[in-house]
Amino acid sequence: MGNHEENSVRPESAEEAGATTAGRIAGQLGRWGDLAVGTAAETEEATLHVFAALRSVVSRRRRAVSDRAVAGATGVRRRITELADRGAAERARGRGLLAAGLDAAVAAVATSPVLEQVVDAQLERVLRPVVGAVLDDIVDMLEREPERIRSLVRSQRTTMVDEVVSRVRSGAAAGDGNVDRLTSRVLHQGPPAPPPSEPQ
Amino acid sequence: MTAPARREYAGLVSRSIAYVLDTMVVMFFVSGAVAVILVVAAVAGAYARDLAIAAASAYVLVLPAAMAVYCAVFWLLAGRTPGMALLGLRVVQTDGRPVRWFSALLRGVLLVCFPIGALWLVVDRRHQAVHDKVARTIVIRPMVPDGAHEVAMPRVPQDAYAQETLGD
Repeated sequence: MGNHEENSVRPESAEEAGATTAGRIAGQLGRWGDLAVGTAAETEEATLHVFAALRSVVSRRRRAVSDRAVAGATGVRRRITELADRGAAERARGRGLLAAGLDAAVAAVATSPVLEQVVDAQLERVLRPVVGAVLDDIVDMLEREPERIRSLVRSQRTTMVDEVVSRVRSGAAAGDGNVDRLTSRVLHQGPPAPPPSEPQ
Repeated sequence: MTAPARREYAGLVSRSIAYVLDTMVVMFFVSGAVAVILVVAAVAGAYARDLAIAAASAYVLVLPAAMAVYCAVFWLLAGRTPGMALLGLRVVQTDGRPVRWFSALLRGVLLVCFPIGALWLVVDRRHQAVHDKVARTIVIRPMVPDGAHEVAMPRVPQDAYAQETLGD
């Protein structure tokens, strides 16, 4: 009898125990979930801190590198400019030296006694016979055909005389015109009739 | 067929230059002749020397006469004296014909005896001096047609010429 009661009581306690155990297990599981969520949140925060620190470090490094690059480029540019200036100066100096050297060389060659002897020898050997022969030919030609040079001289003389006469006439005509304008302005005269043409 | 050459009246400057040139030519020859006479007279003797002195004294009279004859002869033969030829001038009668002997002689004598009358050409419309008026002559400058040696002279417009008549 007592077992039966115990048995009748036991099922109730077992159910309660089961329920308690289940509740305990559920509580345990909830705790573990909270733990996981908390761990994940902590991990996320730590990760964010780590990445922020990394970004900061990288940014600093990059800025430092950029500053160094800018400074280096400016220095290179300045150096290039200096080199270009020096190159231009050296080239001008080289040209001056070259010109001076050429002048000196030409002066030395031109005033060299050896060259003078060479030129004199060539003149004696080539030029004088040629000039003599040409002059002889010209004199012979003028002896044969004197009219050519005479007509040339005559035409030249005629041209000069014509030019002088033309200048005198044009100057006198301009003077006449000026006097005519003055007198016509003073006397209020109109232009005269044209002179009669020569009868045929 | 060529167009007739234009003409225009010669003015004071051209005619004065020509007159001075002709005077210099006449003076040169007359002075040379007088010098030759003096030299010959110095060699010939007392009578010739007196004659030479008289000739030299008459230089003042001989020179204008020589000038008149010189001008008249050249105007009659060529229509221009050497000085006028250099300036490109020519003397013709008012009708355009060449100068006759009487007009040339009269013109030459008047020019020499009354040279101040030449200034009348300044105020005359056809640039006729007193000796031109008396001898009925004019002094012209023949203009060479365009393209040749043309004298640079201010021209009067042809329309203005057309309004005038030749008879006045």
